[in-house]
Amino acid sequence: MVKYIVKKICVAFLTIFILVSVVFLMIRLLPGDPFNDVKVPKATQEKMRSYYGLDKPLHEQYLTYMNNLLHGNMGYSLRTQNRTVNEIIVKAFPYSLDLGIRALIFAVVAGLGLGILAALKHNKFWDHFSMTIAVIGISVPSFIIGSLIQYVFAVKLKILPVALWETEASTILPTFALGLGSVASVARIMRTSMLEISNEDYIKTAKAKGLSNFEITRKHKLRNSLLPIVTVLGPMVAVLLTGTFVIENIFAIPGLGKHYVNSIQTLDYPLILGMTLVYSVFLIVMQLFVDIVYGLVDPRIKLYQ
Amino acid sequence: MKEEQVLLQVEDLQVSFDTYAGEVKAVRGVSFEVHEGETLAIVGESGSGKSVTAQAVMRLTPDDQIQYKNGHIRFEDTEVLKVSQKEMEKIRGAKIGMILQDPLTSLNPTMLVGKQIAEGLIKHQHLDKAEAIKRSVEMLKMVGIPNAEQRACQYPHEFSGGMRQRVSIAIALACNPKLLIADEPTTALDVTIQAQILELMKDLQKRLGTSIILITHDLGIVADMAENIVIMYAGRLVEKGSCKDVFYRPGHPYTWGLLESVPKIDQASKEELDSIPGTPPDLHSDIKGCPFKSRCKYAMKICYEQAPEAFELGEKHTASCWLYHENAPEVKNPITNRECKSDE
Repeated sequence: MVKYIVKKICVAFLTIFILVSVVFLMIRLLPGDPFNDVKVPKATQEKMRSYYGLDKPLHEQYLTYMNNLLHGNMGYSLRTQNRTVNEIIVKAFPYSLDLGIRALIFAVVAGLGLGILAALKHNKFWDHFSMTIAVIGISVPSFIIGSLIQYVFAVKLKILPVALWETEASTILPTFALGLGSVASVARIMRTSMLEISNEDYIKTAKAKGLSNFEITRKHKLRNSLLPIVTVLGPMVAVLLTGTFVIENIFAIPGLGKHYVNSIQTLDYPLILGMTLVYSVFLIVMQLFVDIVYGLVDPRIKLYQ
Repeated sequence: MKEEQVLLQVEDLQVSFDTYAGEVKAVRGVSFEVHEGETLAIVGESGSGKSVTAQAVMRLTPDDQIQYKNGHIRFEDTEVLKVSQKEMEKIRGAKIGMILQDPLTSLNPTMLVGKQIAEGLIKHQHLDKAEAIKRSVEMLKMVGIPNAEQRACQYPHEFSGGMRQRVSIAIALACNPKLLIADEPTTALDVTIQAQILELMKDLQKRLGTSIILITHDLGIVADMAENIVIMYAGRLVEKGSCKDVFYRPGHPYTWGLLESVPKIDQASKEELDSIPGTPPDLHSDIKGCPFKSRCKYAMKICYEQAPEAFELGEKHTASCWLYHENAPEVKNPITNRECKSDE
């Protein structure tokens, strides 16, 4: 187990190294140059380039970046005055994390609830009800959901704040808007998984023991249906927790989301790399976590061969 | 032989399923009884309704997927088809145990084996957890699993097929039920393990006095186990009798076919195994006349017109075949080489 995790961590470092290297080279292939602006005099442009070390040969830049990265320094953002990428991320990340965790809890609780309900009431009202919500959650984009609930609950009914991330009440709408899509996929997967498990022989065995439907669901169906949920949960956590451009934009939340898009549009090289790092580290850690949870949910899955 | 008390009585049971293709009449009027301490074998090919019949005794199929059209099932004093699911939960596991066909799928893969046995004990005998686990270790010992203490704390995937079927037996017998329904308990096992499992069931029956309904398509394993046999075909009972009657004086042409299909060790020179030609009828529709008519080489005109009633061939031995009508032509029974007569 420990050996497995250590091995996984080594692989993770290698993955991140390769990823950073590839992204480092790829962003240089983007057309344009961060300081290439007709309004700025040529001499100033040159000065800026040399200030950020962009005039040096590429391999030298690469080595410098890697060296700094090893010391936990992701460099200065090219678009702000004297702000490091570290500072930007540290400042914005807590908002995204907070929103993400809330959305994740919402997705898991509501998703599992709807999925289980749908499976237990297969082909009855609650099944259709849950699946209607799921279809809406999957097919309607989050910016429509977001604007819609903003309009209904904040503008018309005036019971919730329209935007910003300040009071508890202000968290409700963005959490709902961000989590709904995940609620839908968790509900659908859980329903399918539970229905499949219901036809298994061991459910018949459990029934033949005299257990009630409730006991069969709680003791035999739930744990066995959870495996597919665990599988999608890893990437889902990474997506939700590292911030989303659309939702944070609609609700004016100062999270990480906007940097994904802005950094690329403005060719802010160090920030692009920083955002890539945050997301990939999260994704890799979650995959490792999923692997470990697999083993806990299903004893047939052994982490070490 | 002394008269034992009737434990289970099934009378004119008719069961249907609603499917997309229409109503499937899986069981079409089946009657039999099981006495205390007796083993009854229900024999028939796939789709003959034997498993459906057995599961009806426990009402195992969810009520919204199945229709009990007619007949009644009486277990001790309970009208099984009339009581609520809550009442059935008190009977399942406590008074009737069940072993399913495939031990690889019939145990929960994510639950410790000991816990799976203990569940029934906690539910029916209201034992606390520790006692129930202790009892389940005893059950594992009883079904012949070595190192029972350690084995109870393992998962099903750590057991072999035969061992898992022993666990299934331990689960089914944990609360000492009066009736054990074994639905093809050895079909998924290889032959040597088959013999062990049957031997174990026989042994436990002797010790605990459990009645057994043994469902199988293999007449070979029946001879050793069962006192009485019912042969099912297309949802109907075609022959019913003691083990001796069915093996030595079989009455129905279908039973003849089944007996002839059992591979015999002294006929090694034969290249091809015997079989009954044709396929069973479609259970979606009503069957006019005898269900076996199209595969029966003795079929007469009447067989296409009207379903035969059960003719008495001897004490408690009946066959549903027109050959035993007094006007029927005389046909030689291929098993006994004697003329077919209803009263010998």
